[in-house]
Amino acid sequence: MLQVESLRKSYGERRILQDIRFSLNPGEIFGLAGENGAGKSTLLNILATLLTPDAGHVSLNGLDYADHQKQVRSHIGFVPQELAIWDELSVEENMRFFEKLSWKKQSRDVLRGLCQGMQLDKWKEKAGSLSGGQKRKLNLAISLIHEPDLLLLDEPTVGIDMRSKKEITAYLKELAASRKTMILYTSHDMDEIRELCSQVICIGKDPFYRDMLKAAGKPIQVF
Amino acid sequence: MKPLLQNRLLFLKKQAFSLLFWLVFPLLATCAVMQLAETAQEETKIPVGLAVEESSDLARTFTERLSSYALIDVRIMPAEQALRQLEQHQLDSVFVIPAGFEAEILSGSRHHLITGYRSDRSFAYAPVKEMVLSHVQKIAGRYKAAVTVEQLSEHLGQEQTWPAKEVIATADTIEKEQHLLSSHFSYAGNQPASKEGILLNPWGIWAIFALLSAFFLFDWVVKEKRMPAFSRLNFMKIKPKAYLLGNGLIYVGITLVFDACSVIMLSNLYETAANVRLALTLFLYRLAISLIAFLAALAMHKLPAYYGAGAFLALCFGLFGGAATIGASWFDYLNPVRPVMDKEPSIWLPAVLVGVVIIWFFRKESSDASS
Repeated sequence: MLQVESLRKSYGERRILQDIRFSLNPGEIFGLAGENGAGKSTLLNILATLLTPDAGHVSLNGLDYADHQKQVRSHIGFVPQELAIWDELSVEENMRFFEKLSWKKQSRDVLRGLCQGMQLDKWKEKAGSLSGGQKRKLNLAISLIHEPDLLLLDEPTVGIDMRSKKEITAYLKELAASRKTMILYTSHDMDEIRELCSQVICIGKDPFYRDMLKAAGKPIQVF
Repeated sequence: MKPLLQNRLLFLKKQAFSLLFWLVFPLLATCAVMQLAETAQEETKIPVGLAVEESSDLARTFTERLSSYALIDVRIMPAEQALRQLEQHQLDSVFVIPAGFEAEILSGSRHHLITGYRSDRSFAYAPVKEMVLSHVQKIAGRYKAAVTVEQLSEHLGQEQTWPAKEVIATADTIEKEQHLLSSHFSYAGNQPASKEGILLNPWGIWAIFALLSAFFLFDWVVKEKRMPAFSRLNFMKIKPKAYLLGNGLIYVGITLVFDACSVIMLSNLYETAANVRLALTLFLYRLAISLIAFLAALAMHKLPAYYGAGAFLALCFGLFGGAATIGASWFDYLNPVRPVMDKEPSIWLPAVLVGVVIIWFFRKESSDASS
């Protein structure tokens, strides 16, 4: 379970996050919405242990972020918005590369199964020559090698075709249901959030997103 | 280390040509520069005509010694031909060893033993003449001393006689064995020409090219640390710093294998002794330049600036006390190339750099992203 309590973060005089509190249970998918600059990436980076908050507490499966950073990281899968893959290596080599550095050893079949699960079949093809959607799938598959309990995704479907979007969201739903993975998902695509997330955390001052989500009948938490 | 090695091999397979090029670059570039230097030196020798009008041992010894100097191209020919070529400015100067040269010296004469000729375009006549004179004086002095010893021996009626030729032969042997006397011809105080006629130190040249190639070999640090894929290492068992350091050690290992080949090849080519001392010197040098390149790559974010820094350092070490010059300045102490040229192992620079790397490795980052 991910527990976030009274989280605050400022950059100089500018207050970005104020009193953020929520909890995410195993198998739940939460959306994170808000205008650009609202603090979505800051919150995601704090939850990924890449930033420390000014105040508040975060814990994952009972492990406090402040005291057990190394252990916490071994349970997190982070999918950055940029494509964090090696273009000159093939899909297989990318998967093998990160598996060797990972917390958990996985067989070649498991690695291949991860890719096939999201319809990424070009196992021997160079990552640089894949389509945008296939690259996004590889970006996600690498983050799942060590079977994380918490998956943080920063706009994982930005700029890709509808079919790849559907395949990725279907895979994430299946992942949450079968492995009870906790998923926190940021996106500007409200259709995607409505379809995928059980609850949405809205941050920022712009009422556009919260009004849209309220109208769609989604449970939201506003900060 | 095994996972890092396996992962590095994935990249090295894709960059095999570039890797191989930079690994053999110091050796090939050194051979090329040395070859160029030797060719240039051959073409810039001072043409000196030598006319030998007697065939004594003394005249032959003198001719051989004069011919052995790297910067002089001694052309033996009859006096008339030599003087004609001097008039045509094909020769810089001409020296004639007249008939009776040995007899004159053995009789103790030290005047007008050799005749020298110059033209109005003889730019090197003065230093060549000085060198010839000093040799003639040396030989004449030795012969006169030997004759005196022989005469004294006879005069005093000693049982054991001291023939002049035997004294001279013994003196020559002692000189050769113990290097009692030596003279060199050089331009404006430059490094004296060695017996092989090479003005440049092959290890100094190799060291400079090795430094340059180290910067190109370690450019992966600059390239990889700015890639989004690198940020994933924050969530891996092997952390970014351990990844960089481990891969750095792999590169040092690979370069050491090629350094060993360079030692064998350069030692054979340039007749220098390949021993444990040289191996230790090169190992410490390799460690130092690898760490310099590694730390520079960590500090820099743009490849042109990084390559520029490498070229600048190589130029500095080359120009100030490097391969082409001999300097006694304080810079020699700091210059990592100097111990390689002198084949004297130097531990202080690698030790300091290892210390810096240890501090970097254990220092907590201001942002806890990569801690």
